[in-house]
Amino acid sequence: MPGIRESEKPVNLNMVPIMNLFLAMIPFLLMCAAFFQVSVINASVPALSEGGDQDQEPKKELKKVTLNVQIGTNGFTISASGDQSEDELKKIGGTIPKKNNQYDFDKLAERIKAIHDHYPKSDTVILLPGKDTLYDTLVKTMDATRERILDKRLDTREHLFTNAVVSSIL
Amino acid sequence: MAVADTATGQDSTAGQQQTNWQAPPPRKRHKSDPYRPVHLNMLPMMALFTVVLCALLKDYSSDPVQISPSPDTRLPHSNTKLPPQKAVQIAISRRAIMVDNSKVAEVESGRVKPVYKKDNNPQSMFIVPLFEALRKKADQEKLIAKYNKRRRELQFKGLVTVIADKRVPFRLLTEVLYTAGQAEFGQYKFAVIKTQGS
Repeated sequence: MPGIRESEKPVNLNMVPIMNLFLAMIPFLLMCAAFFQVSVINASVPALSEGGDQDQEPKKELKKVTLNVQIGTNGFTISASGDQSEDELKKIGGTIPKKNNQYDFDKLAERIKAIHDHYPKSDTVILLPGKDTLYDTLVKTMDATRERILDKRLDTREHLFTNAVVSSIL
Repeated sequence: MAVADTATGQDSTAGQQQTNWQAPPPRKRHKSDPYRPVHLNMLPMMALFTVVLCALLKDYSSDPVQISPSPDTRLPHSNTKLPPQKAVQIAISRRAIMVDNSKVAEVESGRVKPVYKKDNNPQSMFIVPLFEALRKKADQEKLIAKYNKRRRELQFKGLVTVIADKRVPFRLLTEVLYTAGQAEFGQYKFAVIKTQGS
């Protein structure tokens, strides 16, 4: 251009080598990329305990229950165990039948939330699937009992029965 | 455009002019014109490639524990947020049971073949080759822990990650967990696919 000295002319960089590098790396990384994220769910199984001091009276926990959720062919059966009276424990229990031949996880989550509101110190749920229950059903039941998502966008959750014990009926 | 013009009561000569317009014929290059190479502006493409590369590199490096289910395994979806931990991996697909990517037993119609069970008994909960493989892993981990007593992360915790197909029946899962328990693995983590937005 007239008026611009030779030293002020813009320098054209050779972008071809770096483009080649990018074009080689992107397909390789795309091949290795995972388009889903794997997480884990903690689970435990019932354990034998030695039995503590028999002479000492155990302290009664009236705000805590252990929930049992049986996954049957017709739906869920809920029962509870704890230091409460038998009548009170019976009131907690109940059945959630299948809806359109599908397990009603929403209703189970609602019921679990109501129980947890009443007994806020509770954290243990024993899951009792039938031998033909699919693993997917077990995971969904764990989800329904473990926590409730309050706001998906803000990722706020309410913890319910976080300690899941997987057991089976003999 | 023509409709709009009639609505305003004007003749749509401008629209007709537009439709009758023709591109001028390409200028013929004279033989005397020198050939000039076209310089493409590479910067937008470079910027795009840099962003893609950074995103892929971040994805590649952020997960130290790699869980890679076999092609025939469909993991269940869950809203859990817990990240995977370093542990012995037991994969249960509809065809086989694998321990750290080594096949130990075959599965047929959701059941372990009786030949892999204790005393060839189909009702047994004990899967012999799975037990042997896990026992070997437990011994290895204990040996590592023995020589690294000060490092808590290397102590034997009996932790297994179960990577099971979502169509696997609970009976098969129970057999695997029971056998793992016999080999001193008592803590279980079920691998799932994190649902979007959770």
